[in-house]
Amino acid sequence: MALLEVENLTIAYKTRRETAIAADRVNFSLERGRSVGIVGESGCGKTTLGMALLRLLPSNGFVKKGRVTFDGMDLLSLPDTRMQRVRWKRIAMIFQAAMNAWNPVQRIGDQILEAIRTHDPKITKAEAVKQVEQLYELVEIPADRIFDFPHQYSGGMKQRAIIAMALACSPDLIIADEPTTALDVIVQDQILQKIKAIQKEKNIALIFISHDIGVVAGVCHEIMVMYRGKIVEAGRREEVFEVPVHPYTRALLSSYLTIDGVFEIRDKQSPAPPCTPAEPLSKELCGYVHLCPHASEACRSRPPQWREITPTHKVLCSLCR
Amino acid sequence: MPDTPAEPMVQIQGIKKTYSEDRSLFARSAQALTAIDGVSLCIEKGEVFGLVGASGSGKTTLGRLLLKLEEIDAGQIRFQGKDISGLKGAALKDFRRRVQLIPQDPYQSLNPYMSIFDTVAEPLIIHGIRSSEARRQKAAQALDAAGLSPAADFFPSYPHQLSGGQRQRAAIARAMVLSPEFVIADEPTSMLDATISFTIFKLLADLRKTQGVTLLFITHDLAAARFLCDRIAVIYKGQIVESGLSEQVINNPGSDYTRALINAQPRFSFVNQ
Amino acid sequence: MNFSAETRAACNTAAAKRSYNLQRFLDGWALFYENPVGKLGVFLLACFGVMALISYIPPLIDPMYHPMTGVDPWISNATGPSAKHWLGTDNLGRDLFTQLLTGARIAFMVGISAAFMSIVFGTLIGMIAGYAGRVTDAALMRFADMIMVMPSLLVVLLLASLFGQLNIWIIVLLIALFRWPGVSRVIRSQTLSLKQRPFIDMARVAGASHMRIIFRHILPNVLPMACLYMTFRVTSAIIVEAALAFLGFGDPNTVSWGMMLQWVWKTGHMFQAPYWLLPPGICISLITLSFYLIGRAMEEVLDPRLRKEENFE
Ligand SMILES: Nc1ncnc2c1ncn2[C@@H]1O[C@H](COP(=O)(O)OP(=O)(O)OP(=O)(O)O)[C@@H](O)[C@H]1O
Ligand SMILES: Nc1ncnc2c1ncn2[C@@H]1O[C@H](COP(=O)(O)OP(=O)(O)OP(=O)(O)O)[C@@H](O)[C@H]1O
Ligand code: SF4
Ligand SMILES: [Mg+2]
Ligand SMILES: [Mg+2]
Repeated sequence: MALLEVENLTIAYKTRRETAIAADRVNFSLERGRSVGIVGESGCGKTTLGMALLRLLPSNGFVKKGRVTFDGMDLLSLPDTRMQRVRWKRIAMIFQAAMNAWNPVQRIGDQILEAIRTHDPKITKAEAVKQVEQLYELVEIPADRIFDFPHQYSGGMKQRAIIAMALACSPDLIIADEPTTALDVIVQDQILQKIKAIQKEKNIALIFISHDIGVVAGVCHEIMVMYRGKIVEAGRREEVFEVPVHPYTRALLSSYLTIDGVFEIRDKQSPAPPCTPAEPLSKELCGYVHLCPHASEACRSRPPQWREITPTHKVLCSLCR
Repeated sequence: MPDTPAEPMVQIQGIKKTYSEDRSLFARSAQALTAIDGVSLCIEKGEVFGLVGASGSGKTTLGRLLLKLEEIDAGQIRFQGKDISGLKGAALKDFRRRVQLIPQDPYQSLNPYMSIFDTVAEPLIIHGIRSSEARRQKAAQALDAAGLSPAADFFPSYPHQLSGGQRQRAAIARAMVLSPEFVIADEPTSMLDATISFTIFKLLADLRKTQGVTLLFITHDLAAARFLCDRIAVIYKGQIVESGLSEQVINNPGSDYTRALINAQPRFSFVNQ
Repeated sequence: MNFSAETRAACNTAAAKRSYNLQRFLDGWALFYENPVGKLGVFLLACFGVMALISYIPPLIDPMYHPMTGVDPWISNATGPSAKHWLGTDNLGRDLFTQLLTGARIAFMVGISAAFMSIVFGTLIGMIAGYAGRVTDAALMRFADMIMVMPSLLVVLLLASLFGQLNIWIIVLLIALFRWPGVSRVIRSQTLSLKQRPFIDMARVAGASHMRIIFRHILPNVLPMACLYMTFRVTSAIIVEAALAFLGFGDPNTVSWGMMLQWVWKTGHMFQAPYWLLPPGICISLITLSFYLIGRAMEEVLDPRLRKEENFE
C-alpha cells in the first residue's frame, strides 16, 4: 500500500453567501521517495488541498467527504492528540509565504530550537543545537548564521531555514506550498535543487504545490493539473509534457516562456488521443468550457469523464477520438 | 536639426542611490546600503528596454528614481534631454503626464475603495480634463485597448471583483489613459500564472506597436525579457554588468552573472523534443 | 484571487455589480447583526433613541410636564411614583420621567457631537501627521502626547470655576478637544502603513496632489477605523459630561442625567429618594454600555482576522 492515499477528497468552505466547494473529488496516491506536483492558477484550491491533508483548514473549511490514508492510518478520523503527533513529525508542511512568518524580534535559531523542543520535550538543549547545526549544513547555511535575526537573512536564506525546520523531525512526507514563488530565478533554482537532493537522499515523499508548471517539472515525478477545484489531468511528468491532453494543460504549456521562446508542445496535432469512455465524475459540466478552444456541444450538455490515456495518465475531458 | 539622430527618451549618467539603514531597530551595523551604484543607461525612443536582475539588485529602485518617486544622490537623469532633478510645479506635472508606471502587484496597486472607472479616470481629472463625457470616452478607449471590453461593463466594478489578470489590465489602462511617452513596467506579471502573463506580454507588445510608447520592462525572468525586449541590461548589486541587444546578451552572455541567470531558467530537458 | 469561481461568476452579473462600499456595508452589517453582542447594543440604543424622541411629547400634553420649568402645583416635595408621575417628582415638583426622557436626548446630543468632533480632529491630524512624516509628524504627535497626559477633567473644572457655569456646547467642544489624541494615534499608524501601499505610489505617479492623496485615497481606507473609534468616544463623552454635571459644573439650563444626579445630591435626597437617584444612574450605565457593545461588535467586523471569507489581499 502506498504511503499516502487520497480518495474522493471533497473540501468546502462555508461563507455567509454560500458553501463553496474548493476541492472536488481529488484522488491520488504517493509512494515513499516519490514526488507529485500540483499546478493550477491562483485560487484553484491547491493550498486548501494541502491544508486538508494535515487537518489545518481554517475554521470555516471542512472536508465534505473522502478518505486520507497515511501509512495505514485514517488521517481524517484520527483523534486530535494523535494527529498532533503526525503533524510535523511524520508529515511536515512548508506553508505558503512562510519565510515572511519568522518572528522578527526573535533569532531564527531560537525559533527552530523552540519548535524542536516543544515537539520533543525530552531532548536536551545541546542535542537540539547539534541537530539544528546538522540541518543548516543540509540546507547550506553557515552555522555561524544560526542565531541571526530574520532581517539579517536574505529571502533565499529565510526560505532555506524554513526547509531546515520542516526537516527537523525527519518526516516521511513533506507538503511544500509555493516554496519559491517570492524568490528570483537564481535563488529559486538553488532551493529547488536542494529540495530535490534532500528528498532523494532521505527517501521522503513530496507534495509540491506551485502555479508555475516549469518549477514543478524540475522537481516532481508526477504532475496533477488543477482547475477550479478539480484535478483535470494527472500523469507522469514526461507524459504530461509530451502528450498534454486537457485543453487547460495545453494552454498552460503553450504560453510558458522558456529561454528559447515559447514552450513547444511536441504533440501539436490533436488534443484527443484514443481513449475508452468511462463514467462521468459528476453531473457538473466542465469548468473550463468558457475558455476552451475545443468546447463542443457535447461539453455544454454532458459532464466530462475521466479518460485513461495510459495506465498512469488520466484526463477529465469530454474530447475523444 | 534634420540630420541629428532623434534624442533618446531617457539618458542616465552615473546615478547613485544610498539608503541609510537606520530604519531597522535590530541592525547589527548602521552602515549605508548602496542600492544603485553608478548606473549609466540610454533608452531610445520607441524601444522596449529590459532591465534584468535578481531580487535586491536594485531594479525597483532604479524605476522609482526614473519616476521621481525618490531623489538620486549623485549623477543625472535626463528625460527627453531635460534634467529631471529640479522639476517642480507645472513642469513636474507635465513630466507626470508623460511618464507612467505599471506596477508589480495587481492585488495591492489599485485602491480597493475606487471603482475601475474612478481608477482609470483619475489621471484625467488630475490633468485637467473637465468634461465628464470626454473622461468616459477616454477611459473606455483605454480599457478597450487593455483588453477589458466592453468597457462599460467594467466601469462600476471594484478591484476585488476582478481576477488578477483583469486587475493588471485595469492598471495598464490607467497607465495608458494619458497616452504617456514612457512607461515603466516593474515585473508586471510576477504574481500571475503562465496563461495570463503571456496575454499581458502580448498586450504590452501591442501597445508599443499601436501607440509607439517607449517601455522599460523590469523583470528577473530572462525568458520574458527575450520575448519582449529589443535591448537588455543586466543589473547586479546596483551596477550594470552587461547590456546589448537581447539576442546577443542571451546567446553570448558576456558575464558570469548573466550566465548564471540563464542557467537558472527552468528547462524541460526530459522532454525529447 | 481569493474568492471562489462561483462568487466571481456572480460578480459578473449586472445585478451583483452593486457598489463596493454598499456591498461591504451590507456584509459588515450582516456579520455585525449575527453577533449577540452587537444585537444587544443596538437594542439598547434603539430604546434610548425612542426615549429621546418621545421626550418632546409630555410637555405638549401639559406644560406641567416640561422637564425644566414645569411644576406640579399640587406637589411641593419629592414624591414617589404615581399614576400622574410615573417615576415621581423632584423636590420642586418637576416630573422625573420627562427629565429622564430629556436626559436621553441630551446624552445623544452631547455624546454624538463631541465624539464626532473629536473624530474629525483626530482623523485629520492623524492623516496629516502620518502622511507628512518627519518634523510635522513629530510636532503633531508631541502635541497629542501633551494633551493626552493632561488631566482633562481637572482642566475643565478649572475653566469652569474660572468662567462660572459653562454652556453645554462649550462642554462639548472641550470634550472634543481633549479626546482627539487617542484617535489620531491610531489613524496615524494606519496612514503610515497605507502610505507604503503601492496604490499611493500609483497616485503620485499620476500626478495627484497631496490633498487628493489624503482625501481621495487615504481617507476612505481609514474611515472604518474612525467610525469604530467614534463609538468608543461617545461613551467617554457621555461619562465626562455626566461627571462634570454631577460635580456641579454642568449647564444649569439643560436637563441631563448628570444634572439629575447633581440635584438629588444637592438637595440631600441621595438616600431618601431611590426613585430619583436610580433611573439616571442606570441610564448612564446602560447607554455607555450600549455604545461600548456596538463598538466591540464593530471591532469584530473590522478585524480582518475575524473575517476570513472577505479577504481583499
Ligand atoms: N526604502 C528603502 N530603505 C532601505 N533600503 C532599501 C529601500 N528600498 C530598497 N532598499 C534596498 O535596496 C536594494 C535594492 O532593492 P530593490 O527593491 O530595488 O531590488 P529589486 O531588484 O527590485 O528586487 P526584487 O526583484 O525583489 O523586486 C535592496 O537591498 C533593498 O533592501
Ligand atoms: N477561509 C476561506 N473561506 C472561504 N473561502 C476560502 C477560504 N480560503 C480559501 N477560500 C477559497 O477557496 C479557493 C481555493 O483557495 P486556495 O487558497 O486553496 O487557492 P490556491 O490554489 O492555493 O491559490 P494561490 O495560488 O493563490 O495560493 C479560493 O477560491 C478561495 O477564495
Ligand atoms: S470537456 Fe470540453 S470544454 Fe472542457 S476542457 Fe474538455 S473539450 Fe474543453
Ligand atoms: Mg495557495
Ligand atoms: Mg522590485
